[in-house]
Amino acid sequence: MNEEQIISCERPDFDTVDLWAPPTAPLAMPRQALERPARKSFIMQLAMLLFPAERT
Amino acid sequence: MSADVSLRPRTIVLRTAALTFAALAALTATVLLADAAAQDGVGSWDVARIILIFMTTAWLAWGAALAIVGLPGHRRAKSSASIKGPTPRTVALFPIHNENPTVTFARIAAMDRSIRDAGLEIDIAVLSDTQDETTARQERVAFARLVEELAGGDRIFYRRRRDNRGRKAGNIEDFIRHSGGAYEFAIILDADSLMEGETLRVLIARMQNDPQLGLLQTLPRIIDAQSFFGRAIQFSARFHGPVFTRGLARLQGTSGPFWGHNAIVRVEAFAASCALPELSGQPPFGGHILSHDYVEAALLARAGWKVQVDETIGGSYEGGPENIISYAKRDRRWCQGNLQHIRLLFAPGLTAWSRFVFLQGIFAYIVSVLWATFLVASVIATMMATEPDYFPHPHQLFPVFPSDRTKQITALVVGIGGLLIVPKLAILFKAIFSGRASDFGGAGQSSRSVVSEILLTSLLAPLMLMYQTRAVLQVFARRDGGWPASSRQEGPIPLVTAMRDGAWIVVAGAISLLVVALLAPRLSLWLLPVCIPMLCAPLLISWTSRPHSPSLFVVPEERQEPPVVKAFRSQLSRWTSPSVPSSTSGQNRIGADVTA
Repeated sequence: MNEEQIISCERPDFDTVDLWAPPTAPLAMPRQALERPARKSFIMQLAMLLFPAERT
Repeated sequence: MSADVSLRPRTIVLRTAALTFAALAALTATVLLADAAAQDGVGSWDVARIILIFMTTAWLAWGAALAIVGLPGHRRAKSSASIKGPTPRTVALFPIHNENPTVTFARIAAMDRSIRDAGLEIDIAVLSDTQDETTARQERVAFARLVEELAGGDRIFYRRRRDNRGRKAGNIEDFIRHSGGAYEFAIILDADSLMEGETLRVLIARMQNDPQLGLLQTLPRIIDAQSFFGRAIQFSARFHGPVFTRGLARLQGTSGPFWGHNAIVRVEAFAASCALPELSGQPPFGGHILSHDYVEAALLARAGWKVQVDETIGGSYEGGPENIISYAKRDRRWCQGNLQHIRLLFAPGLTAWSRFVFLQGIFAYIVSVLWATFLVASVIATMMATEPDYFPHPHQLFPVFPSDRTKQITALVVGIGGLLIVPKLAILFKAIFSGRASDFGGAGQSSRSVVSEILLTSLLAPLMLMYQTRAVLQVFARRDGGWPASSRQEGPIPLVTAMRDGAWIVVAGAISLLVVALLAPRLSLWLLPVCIPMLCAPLLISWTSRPHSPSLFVVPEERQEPPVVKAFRSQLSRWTSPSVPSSTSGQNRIGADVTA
């Protein structure tokens, strides 16, 4: 690598980094569930039954 | 994937036997202590230490069970599988984060040469998560030099994330989301990993021959240790590690382990099962999953893929900590990661053994707190004990002496020591009789190394107990340890630095000894093996970090340097040597710049 290339690498706007990127071949990665949804307490369920408009 | 990876009967039998052994050993220790404690009446502190001795001994016995299960070798050597047809599309991934670019890229150059020498076509992707702009610039310079030197523009890639979302797991995930479709297999490495091309061939072939295999882990051998501490760890991992790993493999069956690097994954399986969620809440228990590897193994197993470790696959290397401070720093990170798994113990759909693996990881750190509490409880129980009454009845002519329980306590101490030492001695005897010891300098030198390692770990045990206890308490106090870069290639630690880092241990040791001497002087002698190393903590930290001659703790890789390690050293010395021909004057500057 010569001086010019080194200086190019050190330039903030040097775009060689894009040329070095790995091939584009997207693969889906579904996000995994590891936490159970929190259960609503009895009081909360009752409140939601009595005041359905408050349900979020 | 709906593969039915059912448990083999042998795995079930071994698991039952190992758990029974641990439970029986713990029960024996409990009975001995309860019997000894009962002589002066059982108080609440006695109950506490009886429960604690059950838990701590069960943990020690579980470790011993791993060695016992792993002691018998394989009945038949595993075949070195060959790849069918052209090399399946494979990529070696190097996730890096604020590493020294010259050293890292020298490793990559050595691996690329080894891959090509093996006649394989494998891409390499450097996945940078470096946040420091200066280091990032040095990475770009070093990468440009690497690609030019290896003519690797079409097979060696580099990309940098400016957003570190998900840390290392997120880095790999980002690659798979953008480029995973191009590959069948991915070899996951660390910045300090090195693997022979021939090893990669075996890994690919094994994956190709077993379509249910989602991940195959190798047992990396530690290389390049220089200090007394580093060499002791290197020797222990090389000498005892394969037996413990074989035991682990036999007990885990097809549900792990994965240690995060020096392993091959089936990209399709990894993509479908291993996108980790962010846990609700704040770190240290919420947020990104730190110890992602155990979780990824559990998720692969949940999806029906096999996850296995094979300790017989050679040619896989990594670096290790060179001193106690680095070790403790790494342990702090691992402690937080493992304790975070408390949140995942009841995650939906995991196999029972995956949950048990989480529990083991949690217990590995909690146990230090339990030991410390046991010591405290023992001191308090002794202080609270009533003085023996030699004349309990009126008009008694002869005194009634309390029964002597020294035998029970001695048996307890010997038994606990035995659980720690006997597995190592058994491994030594087997190595001598099987001829494996000759790789470690022969029977005499191996024996000296094993005994020295046992003495050193015994001496350092109180320090490790203190560091781990502090780490556990910090995590429970919700102190996030962050994501510090790994310490590599450090020199000796000056005594001043060691004093700064270990002063709190000295103070804790001095206070403990003083309190015990004042309140329960009978116990002072028993506590000396714990308190003396604590008082000497700075000396031990500094002394064990010094370079050590390779006369002790010899490992096979020192007697015959592996080709990929030799290639790495030669590459590194070329890039850092000041006497490079003038035609490559630019490289001179790179070496100076990048290693600065």
